[in-house]
Amino acid sequence: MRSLVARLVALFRRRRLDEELADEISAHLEFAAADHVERGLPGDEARRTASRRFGGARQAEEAYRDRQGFPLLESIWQDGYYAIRTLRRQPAFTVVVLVVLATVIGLNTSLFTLTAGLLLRPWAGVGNPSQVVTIYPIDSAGRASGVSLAGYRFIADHATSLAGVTAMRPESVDLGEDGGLGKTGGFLVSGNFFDVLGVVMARGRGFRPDEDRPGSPQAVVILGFSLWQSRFGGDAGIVGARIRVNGVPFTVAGVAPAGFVGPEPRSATVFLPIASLSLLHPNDASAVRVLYQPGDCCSDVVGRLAPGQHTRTGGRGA
Amino acid sequence: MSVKSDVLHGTLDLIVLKTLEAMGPLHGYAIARRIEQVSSDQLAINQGTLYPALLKLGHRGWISTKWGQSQTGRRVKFYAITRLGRRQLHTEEDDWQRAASIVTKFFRLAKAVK
Repeated sequence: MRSLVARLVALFRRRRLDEELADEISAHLEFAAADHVERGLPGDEARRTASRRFGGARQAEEAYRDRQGFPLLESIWQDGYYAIRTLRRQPAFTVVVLVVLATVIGLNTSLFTLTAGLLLRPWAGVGNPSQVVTIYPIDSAGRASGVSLAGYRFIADHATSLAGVTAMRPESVDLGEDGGLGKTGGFLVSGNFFDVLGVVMARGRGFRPDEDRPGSPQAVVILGFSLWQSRFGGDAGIVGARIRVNGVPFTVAGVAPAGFVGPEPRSATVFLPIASLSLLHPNDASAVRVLYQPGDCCSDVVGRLAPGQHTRTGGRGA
Repeated sequence: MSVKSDVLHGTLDLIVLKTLEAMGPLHGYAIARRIEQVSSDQLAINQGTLYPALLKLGHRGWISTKWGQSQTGRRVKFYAITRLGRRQLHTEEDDWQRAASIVTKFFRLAKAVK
Protein backbone atom coordinates (compact mmCIF):
# COMPACT_ATOMS: atom_id res chain seq x y z
CA MET A 1 0.00 0.00 0.00
CA ARG A 2 2.76 2.37 1.01
CA SER A 3 4.63 1.27 -2.08
CA LEU A 4 1.59 2.01 -4.26
CA VAL A 5 1.30 5.53 -2.88
CA ALA A 6 5.00 6.12 -3.46
CA ARG A 7 4.63 4.94 -7.06
CA LEU A 8 1.66 7.22 -7.62
CA VAL A 9 3.59 10.18 -6.28
CA ALA A 10 6.49 9.22 -8.51
CA LEU A 11 4.23 9.20 -11.55
CA PHE A 12 3.41 12.85 -11.12
CA ARG A 13 6.83 14.00 -10.00
CA ARG A 14 8.69 12.10 -12.69
CA ARG A 15 10.86 14.96 -13.91
CA ARG A 16 12.00 16.01 -10.46
CA LEU A 17 12.76 12.46 -9.41
CA ASP A 18 14.75 11.92 -12.60
CA GLU A 19 16.79 15.01 -11.92
CA GLU A 20 17.37 13.93 -8.34
CA LEU A 21 18.58 10.53 -9.44
CA ALA A 22 20.92 12.02 -12.07
CA ASP A 23 22.30 14.31 -9.38
CA GLU A 24 22.77 11.42 -6.96
CA ILE A 25 24.59 9.36 -9.54
CA SER A 26 26.90 12.16 -10.53
CA ALA A 27 27.68 12.81 -6.85
CA HIS A 28 28.46 9.14 -6.49
CA LEU A 29 30.82 9.19 -9.48
CA GLU A 30 32.55 12.34 -8.22
CA PHE A 31 33.19 10.79 -4.82
CA ALA A 32 34.42 7.58 -6.38
CA ALA A 33 36.75 9.40 -8.76
CA ALA A 34 38.11 11.47 -5.90
CA ASP A 35 38.82 8.28 -3.93
CA HIS A 36 40.66 6.76 -6.87
CA VAL A 37 42.72 9.92 -7.32
CA GLU A 38 43.66 9.75 -3.66
CA ARG A 39 44.90 6.23 -4.24
CA GLY A 40 47.17 7.51 -6.95
CA LEU A 41 45.25 7.15 -10.19
CA PRO A 42 45.43 10.01 -12.69
CA GLY A 43 42.19 12.03 -13.08
CA ASP A 44 41.02 10.45 -16.34
CA GLU A 45 41.75 6.96 -15.21
CA ALA A 46 40.04 7.63 -11.88
CA ARG A 47 36.86 8.78 -13.59
CA ARG A 48 36.81 5.80 -15.92
CA THR A 49 37.30 3.39 -13.05
CA ALA A 50 34.55 5.05 -11.04
CA SER A 51 32.24 4.74 -14.02
CA ARG A 52 33.11 1.09 -14.55
CA ARG A 53 32.61 0.20 -10.91
CA PHE A 54 29.26 1.87 -10.97
CA GLY A 55 28.10 -0.37 -13.81
CA GLY A 56 26.27 1.39 -16.63
CA ALA A 57 24.64 4.47 -15.23
CA ARG A 58 21.93 4.15 -17.89
CA GLN A 59 20.95 0.68 -16.75
CA ALA A 60 20.87 1.87 -13.17
CA GLU A 61 18.52 4.68 -14.11
CA GLU A 62 16.29 2.27 -16.02
CA ALA A 63 16.19 -0.20 -13.16
CA TYR A 64 15.46 2.66 -10.79
CA ARG A 65 12.66 3.84 -13.02
CA ASP A 66 11.05 0.42 -13.23
CA ARG A 67 10.70 0.54 -9.49
CA GLN A 68 9.19 3.98 -9.68
CA GLY A 69 5.80 4.85 -11.09
CA PHE A 70 3.97 2.49 -13.45
CA PRO A 71 6.12 1.49 -16.43
CA LEU A 72 3.12 0.28 -18.48
CA LEU A 73 1.16 3.48 -17.92
CA GLU A 74 4.17 5.50 -18.86
CA SER A 75 4.81 3.62 -22.07
CA ILE A 76 1.17 4.19 -23.04
CA TRP A 77 1.68 7.86 -22.32
CA GLN A 78 4.81 7.83 -24.45
CA ASP A 79 2.95 6.18 -27.34
CA GLY A 80 0.21 8.80 -27.08
CA TYR A 81 2.76 11.57 -27.01
CA TYR A 82 4.51 10.12 -30.05
CA ALA A 83 1.18 10.00 -31.92
CA ILE A 84 0.47 13.63 -31.09
CA ARG A 85 3.90 14.69 -32.29
CA THR A 86 3.46 12.80 -35.55
CA LEU A 87 0.05 14.37 -36.11
CA ARG A 88 1.43 17.80 -35.39
CA ARG A 89 4.09 17.32 -38.03
CA GLN A 90 1.36 16.78 -40.66
CA PRO A 91 -1.24 19.43 -39.84
CA ALA A 92 -3.19 19.17 -43.10
CA PHE A 93 -3.65 15.45 -42.71
CA THR A 94 -4.61 15.90 -39.08
CA VAL A 95 -7.20 18.55 -39.87
CA VAL A 96 -8.78 16.38 -42.58
CA VAL A 97 -8.92 13.38 -40.27
CA LEU A 98 -10.39 15.41 -37.42
CA VAL A 99 -13.01 17.03 -39.65
CA VAL A 100 -14.02 13.69 -41.12
CA LEU A 101 -14.23 12.06 -37.71
CA ALA A 102 -16.17 14.95 -36.18
CA THR A 103 -18.60 15.08 -39.09
CA VAL A 104 -19.26 11.39 -39.14
CA ILE A 105 -19.65 11.07 -35.39
CA GLY A 106 -21.90 14.14 -35.28
CA LEU A 107 -24.02 12.91 -38.16
CA ASN A 108 -24.36 9.50 -36.62
CA THR A 109 -25.40 10.97 -33.29
CA SER A 110 -27.98 13.33 -34.75
CA LEU A 111 -29.43 10.64 -37.02
CA PHE A 112 -29.75 8.30 -34.11
CA THR A 113 -31.35 10.99 -31.96
CA LEU A 114 -33.77 11.80 -34.76
CA THR A 115 -34.62 8.17 -35.39
CA ALA A 116 -35.08 7.45 -31.71
CA GLY A 117 -37.27 10.52 -31.29
CA LEU A 118 -39.39 9.94 -34.38
CA LEU A 119 -39.66 6.21 -34.65
CA LEU A 120 -38.53 4.39 -31.58
CA ARG A 121 -39.88 6.29 -28.62
CA PRO A 122 -43.61 6.05 -28.02
CA TRP A 123 -45.45 9.34 -28.16
CA ALA A 124 -45.53 11.15 -24.90
CA GLY A 125 -49.01 11.57 -23.47
CA VAL A 126 -50.56 8.64 -25.33
CA GLY A 127 -52.46 6.12 -23.23
CA ASN A 128 -51.29 2.48 -23.55
CA PRO A 129 -48.84 3.19 -26.38
CA SER A 130 -48.10 -0.52 -26.86
CA GLN A 131 -51.58 -0.97 -28.42
CA VAL A 132 -51.03 1.81 -30.92
CA VAL A 133 -49.91 0.78 -34.39
CA THR A 134 -49.03 2.69 -37.52
CA ILE A 135 -50.73 1.53 -40.71
CA TYR A 136 -49.01 1.43 -44.09
CA PRO A 137 -50.42 -0.10 -47.23
CA ILE A 138 -47.85 -2.26 -48.97
CA ASP A 139 -47.89 -1.80 -52.74
CA SER A 140 -47.33 -4.57 -55.29
CA ALA A 141 -43.60 -3.99 -55.22
CA GLY A 142 -43.56 -4.57 -51.47
CA ARG A 143 -42.92 -0.92 -50.62
CA ALA A 144 -44.73 0.82 -47.81
CA SER A 145 -46.66 3.77 -49.17
CA GLY A 146 -48.90 6.50 -47.75
CA VAL A 147 -52.62 6.52 -47.24
CA SER A 148 -55.10 8.92 -48.80
CA LEU A 149 -57.93 10.24 -46.67
CA ALA A 150 -60.34 8.18 -48.75
CA GLY A 151 -58.17 5.16 -47.99
CA TYR A 152 -58.20 6.06 -44.33
CA ARG A 153 -62.02 6.10 -44.26
CA PHE A 154 -62.05 2.71 -45.93
CA ILE A 155 -59.70 1.29 -43.33
CA ALA A 156 -61.67 2.88 -40.49
CA ASP A 157 -64.88 1.32 -41.78
CA HIS A 158 -63.51 -2.17 -42.42
CA ALA A 159 -60.75 -2.92 -39.94
CA THR A 160 -61.97 -5.53 -37.48
CA SER A 161 -58.84 -5.95 -35.43
CA LEU A 162 -58.65 -2.27 -34.55
CA ALA A 163 -60.66 -0.57 -31.83
CA GLY A 164 -60.16 2.75 -33.55
CA VAL A 165 -58.28 4.32 -36.45
CA THR A 166 -57.23 7.92 -36.73
CA ALA A 167 -55.54 9.98 -39.45
CA MET A 168 -53.33 13.03 -39.32
CA ARG A 169 -51.43 15.24 -41.70
CA PRO A 170 -49.18 18.19 -41.02
CA GLU A 171 -50.51 21.63 -41.89
CA SER A 172 -48.86 24.91 -41.03
CA VAL A 173 -51.17 27.81 -40.29
CA ASP A 174 -51.06 31.49 -39.43
CA LEU A 175 -52.34 32.39 -36.00
CA GLY A 176 -53.97 35.61 -34.80
CA GLU A 177 -55.33 38.70 -36.51
CA ASP A 178 -53.46 38.97 -39.85
CA GLY A 179 -51.21 36.17 -38.68
CA GLY A 180 -49.99 38.41 -35.84
CA LEU A 181 -49.22 35.43 -33.59
CA GLY A 182 -47.01 33.89 -36.21
CA LYS A 183 -46.90 30.76 -38.31
CA THR A 184 -46.99 27.49 -36.50
CA GLY A 185 -46.65 23.87 -37.49
CA GLY A 186 -49.95 22.19 -36.80
CA PHE A 187 -51.75 18.94 -37.52
CA LEU A 188 -55.02 18.21 -39.24
CA VAL A 189 -56.48 15.23 -37.42
CA SER A 190 -59.56 13.10 -37.70
CA GLY A 191 -62.35 13.78 -35.21
CA ASN A 192 -61.58 10.71 -33.09
CA PHE A 193 -57.86 11.53 -32.81
CA PHE A 194 -57.69 12.26 -29.08
CA ASP A 195 -60.10 9.43 -28.22
CA VAL A 196 -58.21 6.79 -30.16
CA LEU A 197 -54.89 7.85 -28.70
CA GLY A 198 -56.30 8.08 -25.19
CA VAL A 199 -54.98 11.57 -24.59
CA VAL A 200 -56.18 13.22 -21.39
CA MET A 201 -56.65 16.91 -22.18
CA ALA A 202 -55.11 19.60 -20.00
CA ARG A 203 -58.06 21.94 -20.55
CA GLY A 204 -61.43 21.52 -22.23
CA ARG A 205 -62.01 18.51 -24.46
CA GLY A 206 -60.73 16.75 -27.56
CA PHE A 207 -62.56 16.83 -30.91
CA ARG A 208 -65.91 15.12 -31.34
CA PRO A 209 -66.38 12.91 -34.41
CA ASP A 210 -69.16 15.18 -35.65
CA GLU A 211 -66.70 18.08 -35.82
CA ASP A 212 -64.85 16.35 -38.65
CA ARG A 213 -67.50 15.78 -41.31
CA PRO A 214 -66.28 16.84 -44.77
CA GLY A 215 -69.77 18.11 -45.57
CA SER A 216 -70.13 20.31 -42.49
CA PRO A 217 -66.74 21.52 -41.29
CA GLN A 218 -66.62 23.00 -37.80
CA ALA A 219 -64.26 25.84 -36.83
CA VAL A 220 -62.80 24.32 -33.67
CA VAL A 221 -59.15 24.17 -32.68
CA ILE A 222 -57.14 22.48 -29.95
CA LEU A 223 -53.95 24.13 -28.76
CA GLY A 224 -50.74 22.33 -27.95
CA PHE A 225 -49.67 22.90 -24.37
CA SER A 226 -46.49 24.81 -25.09
CA LEU A 227 -48.20 26.99 -27.70
CA TRP A 228 -50.90 27.78 -25.13
CA GLN A 229 -48.16 28.76 -22.69
CA SER A 230 -45.99 30.73 -25.09
CA ARG A 231 -48.54 32.58 -27.25
CA PHE A 232 -51.51 32.79 -24.92
CA GLY A 233 -49.70 33.10 -21.61
CA GLY A 234 -51.40 29.97 -20.26
CA ASP A 235 -54.68 31.90 -20.17
CA ALA A 236 -57.05 29.86 -17.95
CA GLY A 237 -60.11 31.15 -19.85
CA ILE A 238 -58.82 30.03 -23.23
CA VAL A 239 -61.44 27.29 -23.72
CA GLY A 240 -64.37 28.77 -25.62
CA ALA A 241 -62.33 31.77 -26.76
CA ARG A 242 -62.10 32.54 -30.45
CA ILE A 243 -58.73 32.80 -32.16
CA ARG A 244 -57.99 33.39 -35.81
CA VAL A 245 -56.44 30.58 -37.80
CA ASN A 246 -55.46 31.61 -41.35
CA GLY A 247 -57.63 34.65 -40.63
CA VAL A 248 -60.73 32.54 -39.95
CA PRO A 249 -62.21 32.65 -36.43
CA PHE A 250 -61.94 29.25 -34.69
CA THR A 251 -63.22 28.33 -31.24
CA VAL A 252 -60.72 26.80 -28.84
CA ALA A 253 -62.19 23.47 -27.70
CA GLY A 254 -59.30 22.40 -25.48
CA VAL A 255 -55.62 22.30 -24.70
CA ALA A 256 -53.54 19.17 -25.20
CA PRO A 257 -51.54 17.99 -22.16
CA ALA A 258 -47.95 19.05 -21.59
CA GLY A 259 -45.58 16.77 -23.45
CA PHE A 260 -48.12 15.70 -26.05
CA VAL A 261 -47.05 17.28 -29.31
CA GLY A 262 -48.51 14.87 -31.83
CA PRO A 263 -46.58 12.40 -33.93
CA GLU A 264 -43.54 14.58 -34.47
CA PRO A 265 -41.41 16.13 -31.77
CA ARG A 266 -42.25 19.75 -32.48
CA SER A 267 -42.70 22.35 -29.83
CA ALA A 268 -45.51 24.64 -30.97
CA THR A 269 -48.53 22.86 -32.39
CA VAL A 270 -52.23 23.34 -32.99
CA PHE A 271 -54.66 20.57 -33.87
CA LEU A 272 -57.51 21.12 -36.33
CA PRO A 273 -60.18 18.80 -37.72
CA ILE A 274 -59.28 17.50 -41.16
CA ALA A 275 -62.60 18.71 -42.50
CA SER A 276 -61.70 22.28 -41.57
CA LEU A 277 -59.35 22.29 -44.58
CA SER A 278 -62.15 23.90 -46.57
CA LEU A 279 -62.39 26.68 -43.96
CA LEU A 280 -58.64 27.20 -43.83
CA HIS A 281 -58.37 27.47 -47.62
CA PRO A 282 -61.70 28.97 -48.68
CA ASN A 283 -60.36 30.06 -52.06
CA ASP A 284 -58.29 27.01 -52.91
CA ALA A 285 -60.35 24.18 -54.38
CA SER A 286 -57.29 21.96 -54.75
CA ALA A 287 -56.72 22.01 -51.01
CA VAL A 288 -60.08 20.41 -50.47
CA ARG A 289 -59.58 17.74 -53.11
CA VAL A 290 -57.33 15.87 -50.71
CA LEU A 291 -60.41 15.15 -48.59
CA TYR A 292 -62.04 13.03 -51.28
CA GLN A 293 -59.56 11.90 -53.93
CA PRO A 294 -58.30 8.36 -53.30
CA GLY A 295 -55.14 9.22 -55.23
CA ASP A 296 -54.26 12.19 -52.99
CA CYS A 297 -51.60 10.95 -50.70
CA CYS A 298 -50.52 11.02 -47.92
CA SER A 299 -51.77 11.02 -44.40
CA ASP A 300 -50.41 9.12 -41.45
CA VAL A 301 -52.82 6.52 -40.18
CA VAL A 302 -52.59 5.16 -36.70
CA GLY A 303 -54.82 2.60 -35.05
CA ARG A 304 -55.40 1.21 -31.61
CA LEU A 305 -55.59 -2.58 -31.51
CA ALA A 306 -58.86 -4.05 -30.32
CA PRO A 307 -58.64 -5.89 -26.98
CA GLY A 308 -57.09 -9.33 -27.40
CA GLN A 309 -55.34 -8.41 -30.64
CA HIS A 310 -51.58 -8.57 -30.94
CA THR A 311 -49.41 -6.78 -33.38
CA ARG A 312 -49.00 -9.91 -35.47
CA THR A 313 -52.69 -10.72 -35.99
CA GLY A 314 -53.53 -7.05 -36.30
CA GLY A 315 -51.38 -6.90 -39.39
CA ARG A 316 -53.57 -9.44 -41.19
CA GLY A 317 -56.98 -8.54 -39.85
CA ALA A 318 -57.49 -5.37 -41.86
CA MET B 1 38.71 -15.86 -1.57
CA SER B 2 40.38 -14.79 -4.76
CA VAL B 3 37.38 -13.82 -6.84
CA LYS B 4 35.13 -11.09 -5.50
CA SER B 5 31.73 -12.58 -4.84
CA ASP B 6 28.50 -10.96 -5.83
CA VAL B 7 26.20 -9.93 -3.08
CA LEU B 8 24.23 -12.98 -2.15
CA HIS B 9 20.85 -12.71 -3.75
CA GLY B 10 18.36 -10.98 -1.51
CA THR B 11 20.89 -9.94 1.09
CA LEU B 12 21.67 -6.47 -0.23
CA ASP B 13 18.63 -5.05 1.59
CA LEU B 14 19.80 -6.59 4.81
CA ILE B 15 23.34 -5.32 4.35
CA VAL B 16 22.18 -1.80 3.57
CA LEU B 17 19.86 -1.69 6.57
CA LYS B 18 22.59 -3.01 8.87
CA THR B 19 25.08 -0.47 7.53
CA LEU B 20 22.65 2.41 8.10
CA GLU B 21 21.87 1.15 11.60
CA ALA B 22 25.54 0.96 12.49
CA MET B 23 26.71 4.18 10.81
CA GLY B 24 23.73 6.53 11.00
CA PRO B 25 22.63 8.56 7.95
CA LEU B 26 24.88 8.07 4.89
CA HIS B 27 24.76 9.09 1.26
CA GLY B 28 24.74 6.53 -1.55
CA TYR B 29 28.45 6.43 -2.25
CA ALA B 30 29.29 6.21 1.44
CA ILE B 31 26.97 3.22 1.78
CA ALA B 32 28.65 1.51 -1.19
CA ARG B 33 32.15 2.23 0.17
CA ARG B 34 31.21 1.10 3.65
CA ILE B 35 29.92 -2.22 2.36
CA GLU B 36 33.11 -2.79 0.40
CA GLN B 37 35.28 -1.84 3.38
CA VAL B 38 33.43 -4.02 5.87
CA SER B 39 33.74 -6.98 3.53
CA SER B 40 37.44 -6.10 3.13
CA ASP B 41 36.72 -5.45 -0.53
CA GLN B 42 35.63 -9.03 -1.01
CA LEU B 43 32.06 -8.05 -1.78
CA ALA B 44 31.78 -6.18 -5.01
CA ILE B 45 28.41 -4.59 -5.26
CA ASN B 46 27.59 -3.36 -8.68
CA GLN B 47 27.27 0.11 -7.33
CA GLY B 48 24.50 1.03 -9.74
CA THR B 49 22.20 -1.61 -8.26
CA LEU B 50 22.41 0.12 -4.93
CA TYR B 51 20.04 2.93 -5.94
CA PRO B 52 17.08 0.79 -7.01
CA ALA B 53 17.55 -1.12 -3.75
CA LEU B 54 17.52 2.14 -1.78
CA LEU B 55 14.38 3.25 -3.58
CA LYS B 56 12.65 -0.02 -2.73
CA LEU B 57 13.61 0.27 0.90
CA GLY B 58 12.24 3.83 0.89
CA HIS B 59 8.96 2.70 -0.62
CA ARG B 60 8.60 0.12 2.12
CA GLY B 61 9.17 2.77 4.73
CA TRP B 62 12.32 1.11 6.06
CA ILE B 63 14.58 4.05 5.29
CA SER B 64 14.00 7.78 4.99
CA THR B 65 15.79 10.25 2.75
CA LYS B 66 16.88 13.82 3.24
CA TRP B 67 18.99 16.17 1.15
CA GLY B 68 22.06 17.54 2.86
CA GLN B 69 25.72 18.37 2.33
CA SER B 70 28.62 15.98 2.19
CA GLN B 71 31.90 16.71 4.00
CA THR B 72 33.19 18.20 0.76
CA GLY B 73 30.17 20.50 0.52
CA ARG B 74 28.47 18.59 -2.29
CA ARG B 75 24.65 18.46 -2.19
CA VAL B 76 23.77 14.80 -1.60
CA LYS B 77 20.87 12.68 -0.51
CA PHE B 78 21.25 11.06 2.88
CA TYR B 79 19.60 7.81 3.79
CA ALA B 80 18.67 6.87 7.36
CA ILE B 81 17.05 3.79 8.81
CA THR B 82 13.54 4.26 10.25
CA ARG B 83 11.98 2.58 13.25
CA LEU B 84 10.08 0.30 10.90
CA GLY B 85 13.38 -0.49 9.18
CA ARG B 86 15.03 -1.36 12.46
CA ARG B 87 12.25 -3.76 13.35
CA GLN B 88 12.53 -5.37 9.91
CA LEU B 89 16.28 -5.59 10.23
CA HIS B 90 16.09 -7.40 13.57
CA THR B 91 13.57 -9.90 12.27
CA GLU B 92 15.72 -10.61 9.24
CA GLU B 93 18.89 -10.70 11.28
CA ASP B 94 17.42 -13.39 13.55
CA ASP B 95 16.23 -15.36 10.55
CA TRP B 96 19.63 -15.08 8.98
CA GLN B 97 21.48 -16.21 12.10
CA ARG B 98 19.22 -19.18 12.48
CA ALA B 99 19.59 -20.21 8.83
CA ALA B 100 23.36 -19.69 8.93
CA SER B 101 23.77 -21.73 12.10
CA ILE B 102 21.78 -24.60 10.65
CA VAL B 103 23.94 -24.65 7.53
CA THR B 104 27.09 -24.42 9.69
CA LYS B 105 25.93 -27.44 11.73
CA PHE B 106 25.58 -29.47 8.57
CA PHE B 107 29.10 -28.61 7.52
CA ARG B 108 30.47 -29.59 10.97
CA LEU B 109 28.56 -32.83 10.86
CA ALA B 110 29.90 -33.63 7.41
CA LYS B 111 33.45 -32.97 8.64
CA ALA B 112 32.97 -35.25 11.68
CA VAL B 113 31.67 -38.11 9.57
CA LYS B 114 34.63 -37.81 7.26
